[in-house]
Amino acid sequence: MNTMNEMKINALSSRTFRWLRMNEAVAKDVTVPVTMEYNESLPKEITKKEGDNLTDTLTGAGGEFCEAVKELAFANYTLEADTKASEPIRMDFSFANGCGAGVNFIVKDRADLTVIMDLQSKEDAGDGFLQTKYELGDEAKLTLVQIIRVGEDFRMFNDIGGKEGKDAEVKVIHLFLQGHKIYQGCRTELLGNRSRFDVKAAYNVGKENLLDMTYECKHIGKKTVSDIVAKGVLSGKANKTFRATIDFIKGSSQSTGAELEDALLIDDTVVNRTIPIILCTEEDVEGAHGATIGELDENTMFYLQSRGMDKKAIYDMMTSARIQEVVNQIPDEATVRMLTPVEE
Amino acid sequence: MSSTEKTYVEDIDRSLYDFRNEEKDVYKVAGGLTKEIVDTISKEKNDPEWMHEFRLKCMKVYEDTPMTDWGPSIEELDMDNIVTYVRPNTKMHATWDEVPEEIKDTFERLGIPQAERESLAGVGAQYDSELVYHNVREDVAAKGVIYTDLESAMHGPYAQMIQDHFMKLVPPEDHKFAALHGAVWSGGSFVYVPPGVDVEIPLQSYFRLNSPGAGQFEHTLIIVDKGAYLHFIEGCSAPKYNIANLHAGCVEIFVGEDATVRYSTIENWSKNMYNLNTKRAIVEKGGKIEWISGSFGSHTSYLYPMSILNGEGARSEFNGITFAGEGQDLDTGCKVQHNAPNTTTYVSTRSISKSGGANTFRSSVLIGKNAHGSKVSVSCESLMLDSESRSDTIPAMDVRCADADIGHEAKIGRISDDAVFYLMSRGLSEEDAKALIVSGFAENVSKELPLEYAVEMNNLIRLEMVGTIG
Repeated sequence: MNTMNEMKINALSSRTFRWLRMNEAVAKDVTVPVTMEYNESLPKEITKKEGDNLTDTLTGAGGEFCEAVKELAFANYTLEADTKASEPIRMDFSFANGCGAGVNFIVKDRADLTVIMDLQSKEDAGDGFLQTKYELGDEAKLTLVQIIRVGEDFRMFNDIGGKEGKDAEVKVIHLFLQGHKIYQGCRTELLGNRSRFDVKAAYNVGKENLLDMTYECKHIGKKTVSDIVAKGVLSGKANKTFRATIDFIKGSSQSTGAELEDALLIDDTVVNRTIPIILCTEEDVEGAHGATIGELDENTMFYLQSRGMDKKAIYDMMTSARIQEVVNQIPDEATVRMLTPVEE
Repeated sequence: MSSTEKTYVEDIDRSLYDFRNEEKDVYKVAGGLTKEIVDTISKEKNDPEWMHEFRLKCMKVYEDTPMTDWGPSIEELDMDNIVTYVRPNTKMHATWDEVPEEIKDTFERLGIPQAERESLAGVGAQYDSELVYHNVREDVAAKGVIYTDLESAMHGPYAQMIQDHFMKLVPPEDHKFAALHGAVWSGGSFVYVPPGVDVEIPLQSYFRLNSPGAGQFEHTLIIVDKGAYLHFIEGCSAPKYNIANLHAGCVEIFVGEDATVRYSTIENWSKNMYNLNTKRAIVEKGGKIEWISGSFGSHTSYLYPMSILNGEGARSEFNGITFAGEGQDLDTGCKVQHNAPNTTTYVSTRSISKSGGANTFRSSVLIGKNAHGSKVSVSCESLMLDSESRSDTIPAMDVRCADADIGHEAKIGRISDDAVFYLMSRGLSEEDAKALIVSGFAENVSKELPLEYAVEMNNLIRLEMVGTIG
């Protein structure tokens, strides 16, 4: 297996103070991946073709990651114009160390597709790689659900990049449930007027685990909309970085963008880094970001304790609520059922 | 602007700041940075030995430190041509009558002596690399307040205090221009306020850079002892030249237990100035630092006053406004570091970009493991007045304590058409309506300034707004 001593990923497009160590993530001793098999279930409307990578589509993880996965055999899944897929595409990945996959979704004009990707690992330890790219035609819709729950000592590199046409909509739903180190890159270009990009991410990171996320949305068309929301819980010696960038390019008039993070911290040993960026060269836009970081507010805690819950039960409930809020947005009942705890 | 509108510094127009004096009989070192230059400056300043050695150490750090790889471009700042020391042909005086006529006239035009008479407890005036005037009111001095130039203080009864504090908050390893500052610093003020003393009326230092192609590297060291209060005002300006000037000053503030320091700045450097200034305060138990910052001038700015909250219950406040017009790239904001329990920070900033100007709000909030119960509120708002301009916000937070409470919000947008329409329906021109809205937008800073300075700031905003329509 070939390895890279060091790989810089998830870099900010606008760098800041070097000593903060937030400008990018650095992964050491990275195995260069080979192509893996995965299980898939395709609706009849989808045509699959092995071959081309969408090489001119930039991704969130960036150039060094793209270089690392360039030898993977990419699969293209196409949904023709004016078609709504009768079922979601379901993909179950069981990563072995040093394995990776590359998938592209071409959703043509006025087509509507949901993709549900379940990322697990065969082994407790190792490196797994997934790169997903998409191109949406005018008025096309894509809902991309990724559930990341790899082994306790597994390192997962997950990358997304895409482009959207006029009135197109992409919704990314991310659930970060398990893994030793998870690197998540995600970038989209809102090329067409009135195109839209939504991210709903939920995380539960504990022990000595790491979650490093980068989301970037480039507003190019007019009246485009982005909304990036991440909510989660950190405990133990968890280390989390959330980078989000909304970039309003000149000409993207009447566009709006919002970034929001709500991080609940349980232990004093966590590291929680947040950097929500707005870049703007267009006058007629509205950008906003907000972050709420800390423990549960006193009133809520008091109320729940007065109802007989202890602190651990309250935090368990809050963790579950944050995850479930995002789970409930998955447009597939079977997946929602699978991820919803059964009450005893 | 109407010629009848007045501020305490006479009519505000660009010529107020943009006038230059012919350089006569001044002493300059060569451009760039060499050991010979550092030795020469050290000799000129009559440095004690420790300071001479410190300067040489800083020079080495400067040579070994790379330029930043973030922020606005400073590629056009050719350090080989920056003159780091320019001594005017005069000494420091305690009365304005002794200051050479031309230099005195410069500060008269800037309104400094008048302000001193009317509303200040003491004034320091620096011209190029040297202080030309320093004075403090007798009643303030009688309380034991020390306000003097740093060079003479290094040889007086406070020599050890200076050695113990000088560049301890901003070490030369902090960044390349902190190291440069340490090597060639000249001028600036030393302030010491004894325990329990309330300096009710502000002190002001004013820095004027007249020499083309020169750098100004003044060092301000403020030590406010337990339970004391100080309001310090800093002003700066320069005439515009077609070659780059550099300002790499340094401010270090030590806020004792239960003490409060308010540090106000209205910065109006000329638009050929690279303003790479470093300001930092450390606050002990129950103390408070308040930064009031208005940035209007400079070609390029890197300016992030930092507050280190080291004692339980220490507080910091930052209220800032930045106005970037044509040709300006102003990267401003603040940094806070919470090291102790129950510390609080409140940050409110506004930025306005017009006519191709670029504004960046950049901040960092660090919450350490011991900062239990700490609270931070950060709010930044940006106005874009046209699509030729740029406005970015880059806030970073690093939180390592579970029971801290961090709130952050930011907004970028434009002036509401409805608000302009309403004001125009009340008889204002479009230009005046927008200027009024922008002045209101800047209220977070103007309401914190003494009245005379708030008026000056609002007039600067109005001046900047002229010609924004059409």
